[in-house]
Amino acid sequence: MSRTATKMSSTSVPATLDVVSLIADGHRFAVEAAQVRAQLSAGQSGTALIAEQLLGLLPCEETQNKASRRILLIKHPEGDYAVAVSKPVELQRLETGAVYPLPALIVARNTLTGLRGLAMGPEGLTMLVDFSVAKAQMKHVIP
Amino acid sequence: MEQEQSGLDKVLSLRSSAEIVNVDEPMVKLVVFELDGEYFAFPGEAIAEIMPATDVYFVPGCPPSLEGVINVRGDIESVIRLAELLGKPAADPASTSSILRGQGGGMHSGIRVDRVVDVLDVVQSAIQVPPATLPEHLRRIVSGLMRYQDTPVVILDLDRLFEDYQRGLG
Repeated sequence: MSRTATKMSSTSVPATLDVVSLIADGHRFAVEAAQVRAQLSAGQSGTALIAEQLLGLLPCEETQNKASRRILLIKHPEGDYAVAVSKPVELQRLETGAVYPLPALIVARNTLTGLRGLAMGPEGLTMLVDFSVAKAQMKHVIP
Repeated sequence: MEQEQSGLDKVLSLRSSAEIVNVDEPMVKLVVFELDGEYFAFPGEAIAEIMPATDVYFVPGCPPSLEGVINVRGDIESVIRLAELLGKPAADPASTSSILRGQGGGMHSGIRVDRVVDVLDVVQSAIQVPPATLPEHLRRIVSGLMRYQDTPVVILDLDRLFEDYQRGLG
């Protein structure tokens, strides 16, 4: 009986998903919290990838302002890497029911790199992204 | 002596005695809508719903023809701007445009149109084959033509529209 219960729980979907939300090019994005090792201030890291460019967005002037930036240290098997994101950066708990797979036409036509899903909440729409997928496809490295 | 029947008598006699045969012509349900002053239609089976006014959420990274996503009773669906796919000016955002929920080509999406005109049943024979002179970008997605209240209506194939859109149309 307990074995069956253990097996079921290992394949069950969690009721919530912890994410780190951020702003890129004025839009709300989020990355799974399990992928983030730490959040640093802008001066605490050396080279950092710019979130907007990592995601394939054209950054607006406001997001170029380094003072409004935070650094997310992203876990990676080949070594952690830093991504500069715009504030506010917040830890959020999403209900699983608020997380949606991408509609087929969005999958086919959207040009963002690393876009995995969408979340709908009181604050509006959040784009769920995987920075590692985006990094693998990234064309520009920002010093 | 029996009077000889005139030609008219014979015709009238034949017509009055002729058995009336009820022929059921196949009917097609169509959702007729307006875009930039012109009428278009989708087959009724391709349209799940005519949506009331709803918020559309912008998704960055989409082409202008992909307006965003809508929340439909706890599910998320994309919304495409049909006007842009057909090379027509986009509807005035302030206007009372409608969203049709369409399904075709194994996928579904909202479709922004200027106005829903009517939902009607027409006999299949009223639908004409599209002319070969149609512009290249319409040739694959137009399945027929008909008239509605003396206005031409272009009938669109939603399966092909979605398939072509996936491949880069618009």
